[in-house]
Amino acid sequence: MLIEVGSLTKTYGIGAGTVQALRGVSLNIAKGEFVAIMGSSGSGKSTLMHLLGCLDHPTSGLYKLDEINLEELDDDELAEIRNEKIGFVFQQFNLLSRTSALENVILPLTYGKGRTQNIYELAAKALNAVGLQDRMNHRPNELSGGEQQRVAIARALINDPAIIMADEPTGALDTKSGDEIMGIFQQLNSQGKTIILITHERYIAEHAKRIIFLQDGKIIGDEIVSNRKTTNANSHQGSESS
Amino acid sequence: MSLRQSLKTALRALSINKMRSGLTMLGIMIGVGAVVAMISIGTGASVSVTSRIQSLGANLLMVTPEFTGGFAGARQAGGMGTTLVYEDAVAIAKEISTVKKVSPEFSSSTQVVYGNQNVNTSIQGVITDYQDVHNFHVAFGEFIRSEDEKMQSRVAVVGQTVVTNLFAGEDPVGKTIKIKNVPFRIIGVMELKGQSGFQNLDDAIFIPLPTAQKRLFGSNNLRMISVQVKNEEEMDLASSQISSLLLSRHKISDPSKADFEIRNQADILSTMSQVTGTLTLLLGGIAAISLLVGGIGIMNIMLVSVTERTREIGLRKAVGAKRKDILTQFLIESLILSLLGGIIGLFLGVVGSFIISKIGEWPTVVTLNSILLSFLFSAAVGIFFGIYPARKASLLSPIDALRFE
Ligand SMILES: Nc1ncnc2c1ncn2[C@@H]1O[C@H](COP(=O)(O)OP(=O)(O)OP(=O)(O)O)[C@@H](O)[C@H]1O
Ligand SMILES: [Mg+2]
Repeated sequence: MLIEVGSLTKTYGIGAGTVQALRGVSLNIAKGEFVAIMGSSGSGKSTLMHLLGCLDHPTSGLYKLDEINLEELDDDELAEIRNEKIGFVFQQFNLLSRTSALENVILPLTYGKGRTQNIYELAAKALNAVGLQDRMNHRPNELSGGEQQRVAIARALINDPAIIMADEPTGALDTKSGDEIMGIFQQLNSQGKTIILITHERYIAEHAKRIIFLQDGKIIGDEIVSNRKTTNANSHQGSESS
Repeated sequence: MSLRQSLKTALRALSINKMRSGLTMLGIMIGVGAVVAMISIGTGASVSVTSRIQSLGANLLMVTPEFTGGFAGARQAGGMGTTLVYEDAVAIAKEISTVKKVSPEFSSSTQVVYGNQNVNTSIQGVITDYQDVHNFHVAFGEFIRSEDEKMQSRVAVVGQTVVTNLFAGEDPVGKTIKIKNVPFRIIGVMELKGQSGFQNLDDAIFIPLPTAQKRLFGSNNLRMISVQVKNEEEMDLASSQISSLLLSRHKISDPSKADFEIRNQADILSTMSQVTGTLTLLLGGIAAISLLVGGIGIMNIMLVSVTERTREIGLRKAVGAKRKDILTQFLIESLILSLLGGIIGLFLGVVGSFIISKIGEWPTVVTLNSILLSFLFSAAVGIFFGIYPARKASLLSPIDALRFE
């Protein structure tokens, strides 16, 4: 099992003003899965992703990633895990401004171990994979939202991580660009990447193979998508078929 | 993250806000520039004072009148005590074996007239031995001879500055000048001496001591007795011999009530270097305050930068940056600001002190030490004032940073 989580809780704040964002979440995700996490605003989706993505420590509970027990690791060791095993895609893209797409994509490599050769080749390959081979030297402010998000995906891919985690990656995009992004995720998944996607849109979630429903910090549903939406990633057309 | 990468990242971050980085560096530039210039002024002063005092001669003792009571104002009024007389000098020369030559000296400032020109200059009443004792010789013409002393003749030897001021450069030998309305024939011109200790001996006129005392100023007193000691090793011995001789001549039993003071080179040197050292410290200290202010400017800008780039820091952490990586990134930024500012400031300081020495005619010395010091200092400022913002950045948690609006 790639991800094993047991009774995970997360409480924000101390004293009277505490917020219980997660109240005991248990779930397993196997290698190669494409999971969407759905729920209304404030249900704890982002909180769960931060924990799964090793960005934060849980208040209690168990978390094993790739058979590594994460409770015992300190911040720097978690940073290493994030660098090697997880690629993040955020709603607001979070690209470095005034920095070319290529430079943005190599960012995780500069914090990784070893690999200092061919980093530009690797970055070019990753940008190629998201269809941005012509835009490598453009800066974020010269790219459309959809293109920026594709740069962010290329950045998430550069270290060849086992898992890609995306928090509302289509939230800031129109339907067409959103579909393109989902197409890229589906393609990556078909190449063996495990993908965890957070969304509050049923339509987006149905691009995944499995949907986990979250409410008030608890899992209230876990289903396999029967009627999966697919998008042709290579044409970036956003055409869909059922 | 490799150092090259960090440097690149830091330079990019700084170049995004060129104006801001420039202004921040300006603070350090001014600080370091001021420190370098001020230290060079102070060092210049102490070097020139030291060399001037050394030019007085190494085995020289100076006996000056010392007031043992009365009004402090009296000392300033004439600069001339009432306690040392010509006979004291004669006795020192005759009775103390460690002494080679003695030069009793009288001096006063007065107006000197040549034709329709007149200047205010220093009149030195001296004897023949003055030349040897002070290692200060006549350049052409001749110096005062012992016959001139005996006959109280009205002859004068002039310094180089006087030649320029009074004779507009023409040969003064043989000309007649009037000092206090008394005519003097010029018999020689002194060599160029340069500023010497506290007085400028180039701007002086030398006349026989008895002429000065009896004919011009009507005084028996001496301003100073300069004593040339035979051996440098016997300076202390000579000094104590002179002291006991003068005490007995002046009938003073308690040495602490002596009405004269004996000083040598070392004393004057140490006093002067103390003064110039304090001066250097004071100037450097004032300048260092501006460096401190510059450092605070760096800290301020770095704190703003950390806040502005909270999301960037969060992202970097999310993709694997460790504390150390973020810490070095911001530290390198502040170091670049301070070092670059420091180097430019150093340049400004060197140029500034050069200009000061040219325009202000004040000697300045830029030493390797002051260069290294300012370099180290600006690096230290960068690290000291950069560490807090950098640490603050490195301790941000990735999600807090990412959520930051
Ligand atoms: N740093 C924090 N401090 C305090 N409370 C927090 C913090 N982060 C999240 N919360 C609270 O935890 C709960 C879950 O937040 P979370 O961001 O996980 O929701 P979400 O499901 O991602 O919502 P959305 O769809 O709006 O993004 C919310 O009630 C939120 O107010
Ligand atoms: Mg959220």
